[in-house]
Amino acid sequence: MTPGEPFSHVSETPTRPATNGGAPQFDVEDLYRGPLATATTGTAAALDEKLRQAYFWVVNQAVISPHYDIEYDDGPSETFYFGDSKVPVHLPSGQSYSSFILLPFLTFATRGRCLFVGGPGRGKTQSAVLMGILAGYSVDDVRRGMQHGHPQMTVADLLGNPLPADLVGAQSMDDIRIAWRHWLSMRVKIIDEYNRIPTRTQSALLTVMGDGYAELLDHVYECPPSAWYLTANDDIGGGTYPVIEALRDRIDVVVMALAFNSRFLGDLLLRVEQSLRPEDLVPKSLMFTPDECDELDRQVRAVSVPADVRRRLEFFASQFEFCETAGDQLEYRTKDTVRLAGGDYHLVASRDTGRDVIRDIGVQTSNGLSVRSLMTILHYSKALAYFRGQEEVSLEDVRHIVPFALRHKLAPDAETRYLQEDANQMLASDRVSWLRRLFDLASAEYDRLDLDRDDPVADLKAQMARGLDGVTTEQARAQLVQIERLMAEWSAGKKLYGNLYDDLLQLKYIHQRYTNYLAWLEWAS
Amino acid sequence: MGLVVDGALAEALKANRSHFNDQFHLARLIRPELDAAAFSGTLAETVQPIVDAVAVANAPALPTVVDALYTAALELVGRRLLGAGAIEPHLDAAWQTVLPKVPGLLAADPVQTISMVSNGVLTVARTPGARPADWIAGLAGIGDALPEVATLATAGKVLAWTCGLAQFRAAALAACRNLPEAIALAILGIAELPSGQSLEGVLGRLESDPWLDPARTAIHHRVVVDRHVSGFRGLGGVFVKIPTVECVGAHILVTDGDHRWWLQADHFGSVLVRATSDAPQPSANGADHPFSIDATGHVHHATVAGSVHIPHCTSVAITPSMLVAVSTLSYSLHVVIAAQS
Repeated sequence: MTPGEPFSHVSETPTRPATNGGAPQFDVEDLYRGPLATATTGTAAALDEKLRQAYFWVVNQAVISPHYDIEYDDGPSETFYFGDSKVPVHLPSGQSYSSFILLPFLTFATRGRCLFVGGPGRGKTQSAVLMGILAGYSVDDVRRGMQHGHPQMTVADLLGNPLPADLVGAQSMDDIRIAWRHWLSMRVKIIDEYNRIPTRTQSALLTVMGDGYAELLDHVYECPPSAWYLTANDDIGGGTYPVIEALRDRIDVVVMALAFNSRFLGDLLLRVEQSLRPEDLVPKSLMFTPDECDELDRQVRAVSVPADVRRRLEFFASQFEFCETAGDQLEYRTKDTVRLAGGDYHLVASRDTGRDVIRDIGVQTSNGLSVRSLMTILHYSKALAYFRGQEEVSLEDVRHIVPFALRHKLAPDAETRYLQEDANQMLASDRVSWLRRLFDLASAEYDRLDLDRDDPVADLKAQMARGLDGVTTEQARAQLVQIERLMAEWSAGKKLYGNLYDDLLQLKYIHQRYTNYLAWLEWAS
Repeated sequence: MGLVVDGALAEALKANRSHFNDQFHLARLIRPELDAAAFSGTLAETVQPIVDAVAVANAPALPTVVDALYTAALELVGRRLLGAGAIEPHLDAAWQTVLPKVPGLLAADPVQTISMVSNGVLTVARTPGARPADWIAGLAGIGDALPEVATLATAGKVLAWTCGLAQFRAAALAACRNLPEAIALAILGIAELPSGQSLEGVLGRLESDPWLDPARTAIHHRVVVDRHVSGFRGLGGVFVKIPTVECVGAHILVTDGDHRWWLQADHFGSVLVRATSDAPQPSANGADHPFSIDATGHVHHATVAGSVHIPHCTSVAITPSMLVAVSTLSYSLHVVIAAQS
């Protein structure tokens, strides 16, 4: 601890001790690791360790959030059941996390966009401010840079103003200089109560948030890569103004501020008595420099996604877009076809009979997944694995990210039979649990189909991925025959579900590639 | 009636009263259990003598030193490591004994000096079988001779090894070469080098013989000795079941089924350092090593007289310098060595 930085100390204890299975390694510098920071031990934390240290500092000392809803087990664990409805309380045996704190950290690492939702006074804005301070900004800078949504907010309020002197004397737009707002240059951007911003200003915000630049009077300001934190009291985007869909789609994750636990009233009392705010106490050793932010981003992207994990995510994602009764041609049998035609999805879907509504999780949603949301799942899963000190993403990492990445993007069809069953009705309001259930159901179906071991489409795709160079006419014809046989076999017995729909499109794509290749071979010879 | 702070410390606190009060309030926010009485007692009893020593040696440095001491004391008292009711008594001893002996170092770099002494004594104290009182006494004994903070750091490492932290043996021997000779000899317990011997020669012999006592290098007689290391967790050891031992290269890995440790042992002590969960590949006991054990549990050395008896052996690991065995009669490890007699 250094003079003048009273609470800059962060525990030297590794947040997730590393494994070392070979010969023993003893570092004599360990002698000086302890409760007080020294010059040799105080700043050497790796970035993932630093990220975890920052997380634990926020959880333990800044934001009162004793909700460990992202559960990991490391060996056997206990579950107890309470009340008439047998509410399960699971005691995880591994290091588990509070989503309300963890997701903002993952957003910081991925430079994504995180929306805090929840009632007033639950720490949404404070959490966002803390993330700004962790990016190295002063409390004043963060407060100055925070944009407060209000019904009169103009594009100029958001982005900046043309200089008045230039406006008077300018002969062309090029002569007008723009005084860009300072927050546009910050690496952490905070929009408080974004659902109170007027629609026109939301469009300007969309450009900054989605494309990373601001545009005013033909002048463009390129923003640096940054993490975004937005807050809203309303989960579904309602507010003074409805949030435009494109803006909502740019948000990567939505995290809910959970209720205050009354057992922590004593901590509140201390804060009142001492008149201190956590944002004033962030240890300097936990702040990230711009270079560290860049390196963090690079290291997160370097985390690998194993093929078996990616395949399960593919299987999960394949469930939602397909709607058998939406169109005539295979490619247009999608929920988006109904949406674009202005149809009532539930009405269209109800024409579909004979499908297993439990197995087919696709019927539970009224829309499909966007490409952006899948990229978010992959990127945030990497960040979660990185945060946990892992070099590759696990299925559990993906399972934990899915609910927060899809909460605002995958809409439940509340009239579907599955969600109307007594045991499942609460899932209509608890979207996180619903999405986690969907992922678990998809995973169970994946196991039932034994796709880890028997996946002919994956084999054909892998063969295609090796390239067509050197493939003979006979080999190409053999592939075509194999695809046609597979389709013939499946058409005889299988009902058409989302995963099969995606497989059929994939087979058709591979078939077309070989067909075109054969045509080229014949022309070339 | 509580102890009263006066003199240089009182002046320094008074000069920056609101700053120190704010620090205390912040500390209470983070550690509500911080005991104001214990903190006041620590200031009067422990911090004041240190400040008095610095006031004599380097008065202009007092504000910085007091700030560092106050901040560190807040942290340590808040963690119940320092002051009345501390769970670790050696830290108070280190502050009261060592820090007043190094006023020059405190003036030069108070944060580093305080942190190294505090963290160092805690590490030694938390190592089962180590001797924190010796570490404190050793550092206090050479405090006057330490020219700079870097020397304090190096001396602390070597002292930690001689106080039982055998895992630091190799690094400490290397560090010894960076110390002024008088300090190195004092730490090794060598009052005076015998004629014709050099410190480098002693260090070389220590490197090749883990059982050599540097203070008795002239003694060549050896005897086979059985040291008992650790034991049942309920009786102060670390094992919950009778452990097993195995060689991993030149090292010995101990496991009780739930946890694994590396055994590090030499003349100054034996420690068990937690190994990670990954399973290293065990290697066979070397046939050409000097120790051997027969079917009845008698351990012999190829060149040293005597033997020890370890009946009902269940597990044995042999390295060039020792034999480690476990029997069904005890949770302790039998560490058989050829020690100086």
